[in-house]
Amino acid sequence: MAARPLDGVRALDLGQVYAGPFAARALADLGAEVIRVEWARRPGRATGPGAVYPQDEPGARPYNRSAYYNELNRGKRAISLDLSLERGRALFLRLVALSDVVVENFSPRVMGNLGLDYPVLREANPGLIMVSISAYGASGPWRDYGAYGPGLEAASGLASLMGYVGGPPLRLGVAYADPTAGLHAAFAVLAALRRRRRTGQGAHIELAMRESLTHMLGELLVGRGLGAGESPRQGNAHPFAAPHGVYPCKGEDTWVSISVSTEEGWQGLGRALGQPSWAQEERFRDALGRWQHREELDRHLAAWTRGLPPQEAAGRLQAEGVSAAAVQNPAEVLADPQLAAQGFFLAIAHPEAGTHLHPGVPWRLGEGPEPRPAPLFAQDNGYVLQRLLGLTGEELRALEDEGVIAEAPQG
Amino acid sequence: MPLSGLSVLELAQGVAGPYCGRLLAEQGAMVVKVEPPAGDYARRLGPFPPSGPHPERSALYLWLNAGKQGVTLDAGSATGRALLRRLAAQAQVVVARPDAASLAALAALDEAPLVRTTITWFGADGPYRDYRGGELAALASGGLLGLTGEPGREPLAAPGPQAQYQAGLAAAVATVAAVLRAEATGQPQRVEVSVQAAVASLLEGAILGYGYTGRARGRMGSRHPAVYPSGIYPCQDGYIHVHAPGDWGAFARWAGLPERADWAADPQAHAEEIEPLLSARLRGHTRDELFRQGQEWRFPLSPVLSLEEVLADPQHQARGYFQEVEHPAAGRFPMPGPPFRLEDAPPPAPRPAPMLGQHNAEVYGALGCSSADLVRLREAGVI
Repeated sequence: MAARPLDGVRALDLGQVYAGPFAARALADLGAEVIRVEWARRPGRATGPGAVYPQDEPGARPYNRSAYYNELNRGKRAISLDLSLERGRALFLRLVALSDVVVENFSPRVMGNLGLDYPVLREANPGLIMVSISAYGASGPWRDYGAYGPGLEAASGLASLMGYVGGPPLRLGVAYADPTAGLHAAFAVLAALRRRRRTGQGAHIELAMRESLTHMLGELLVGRGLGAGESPRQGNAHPFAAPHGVYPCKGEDTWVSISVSTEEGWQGLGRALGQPSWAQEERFRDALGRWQHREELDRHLAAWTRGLPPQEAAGRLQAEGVSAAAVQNPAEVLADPQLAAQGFFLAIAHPEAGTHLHPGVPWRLGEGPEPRPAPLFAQDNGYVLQRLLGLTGEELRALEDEGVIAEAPQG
Repeated sequence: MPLSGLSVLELAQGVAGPYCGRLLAEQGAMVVKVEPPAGDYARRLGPFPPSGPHPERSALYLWLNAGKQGVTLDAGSATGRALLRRLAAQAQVVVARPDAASLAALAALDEAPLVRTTITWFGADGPYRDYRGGELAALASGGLLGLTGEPGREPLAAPGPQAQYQAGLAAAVATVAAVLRAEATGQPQRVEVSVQAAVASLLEGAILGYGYTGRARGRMGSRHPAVYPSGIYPCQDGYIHVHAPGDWGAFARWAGLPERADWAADPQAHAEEIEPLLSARLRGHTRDELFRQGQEWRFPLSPVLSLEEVLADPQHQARGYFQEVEHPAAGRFPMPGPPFRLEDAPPPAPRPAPMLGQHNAEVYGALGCSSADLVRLREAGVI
């Protein structure tokens, strides 16, 4: 019996940077065999300026040691294959015939230029499920416009709403559009796989990253369409609840989040703080009064939180039923006892980068992801080209001479 | 539709569970949403139209529940739980908020549903399992809040309940995967999603980066940890997002900045010299000029758009992304389209969210309740 939902499913990952690789990683986590197809001339292994390596050492093969790449590609296989050469293209089509899914997030024109758009791939494999992820979509006046995830926070409307009072628009501290598009794409593939099991029908899924991110802002757009006003850049203020925000704690750059949206929560807050006299004041008696006087409320609360480490403040508030949490940095997230108890982190041994904890998946389903490292460059040329496609060792050497495959990136 | 024929019972309120149900409904699943007689609490949250709060006009509810059938049921009463068992017995998938009454009803089923999905703030077990959740608490403990905002200022939350959306999305992914496995093996599957973990799973390399170097990334405003220049800059008539990984020379030529070899070697290291020049350049142009000219040079600049501009956007219009929907109480309004399209199946016209108890007669009727039964149930406050 299959141990994971996608056991027996094979996906080819042509993903670049973040969104495509994230989608394919979700499939690998669910049990699919994911094969990355990488170019020696353009390996896409996140080794440019700003790359992060173990102990800050790029080493002899930096393309096997980049944190960005190794986090997004754990659990996959990798081959090198130059799709711009006819021989590489022909081998890729043979591989497509043996696969179920292709994930790509090039600009809309690239697959066509390579002679590898959906109609061509479908001829090789009529049941294929192909996902094409682009910035603004494969049609419309902006179809050839490019964007990375961060820019789509701007173009979706998200950034205009986000920021400190009176300040400029801001974006999140992570490229938020990418994993969002990646998970939407994985969801699309799973739904299409179910349809294929019932009807045999393949699918070409077209995903515009901006549309995917806009889906996460649906109520704001529906509200705007219904005539609600836009309220850009309110810091952490809530439209009707107070106190609501982050408060400074004891120690440098330490904060606790506190959110009170019910009478019960307000009573709990009073108990946690030892029933201070200011909390009895008439102006804080009901929710409207607290919201109207939220700045004074925030000052009182901050005076209390400043005396406590964030975990201590959060613990005291939670003990009285108040929604509160320490604002955790990546090191603290990694040490979080709750995530650990959930089995969230995966300890993964990588042959060239060492053993480290990786973020896992937010769902628990059956066995969970297999803790396998990201592939070394060209690691699976033998498995894929010889075992799956039946090429001989001699043919492999000829391919290497022609520059179709390579053992290491060039340049 | 890819999920045609899949029957889903949604015992969830708020954002995460309903967003999961909405994604399933959008792909063709038949989703029956069960609300307490007072309604999903999302009906009391905004945004609301200028006419003010009204349980049938909450944009949050109208968005998250579009395309579902809606029934009311008091899971706290014995009759309600009996009815819930009959509803659940007909569903292949149950997306549940793990409240005691719903879980008791589910536990009493003769046969477990094919897939049971629950979403909790911190997980169903572990030291914080009983902690009071919330959007901010999930963003804070999951690590996204601490990375967002300007250095030296307080961490900043995102607009909208993003942590809960992410949990709903993760739940939809895992739910369909579980359906595939359950159908293949005949074994019922359980899915558990934690909102905190959903946040911690999208920190863009920050976790492994810390493991590799011992340095924890901090807040960087709108800038990017690995790419320079990258950020939101004021221009003549608004703001533009600049993101220029790669060749400094080409970017400098486009922006009219010095093509110095030392800057080209490591632009980030010269950010203090570059910033004032770049800012001045961008201020001299409109957002539209910068967007279009940048794109012609293949620099992925993006305009910072307001919601109003997004609603009127020519690209969205050309792709038919927003489609008008008619709701009996809220009127006509534009509904955002699905997050992806199947080329062989254009997105169908959007369907509105249900009015409170709108499908009681239809859904309970299909269970064999007569109209007299329905009157009795209503009088007893069960539906």
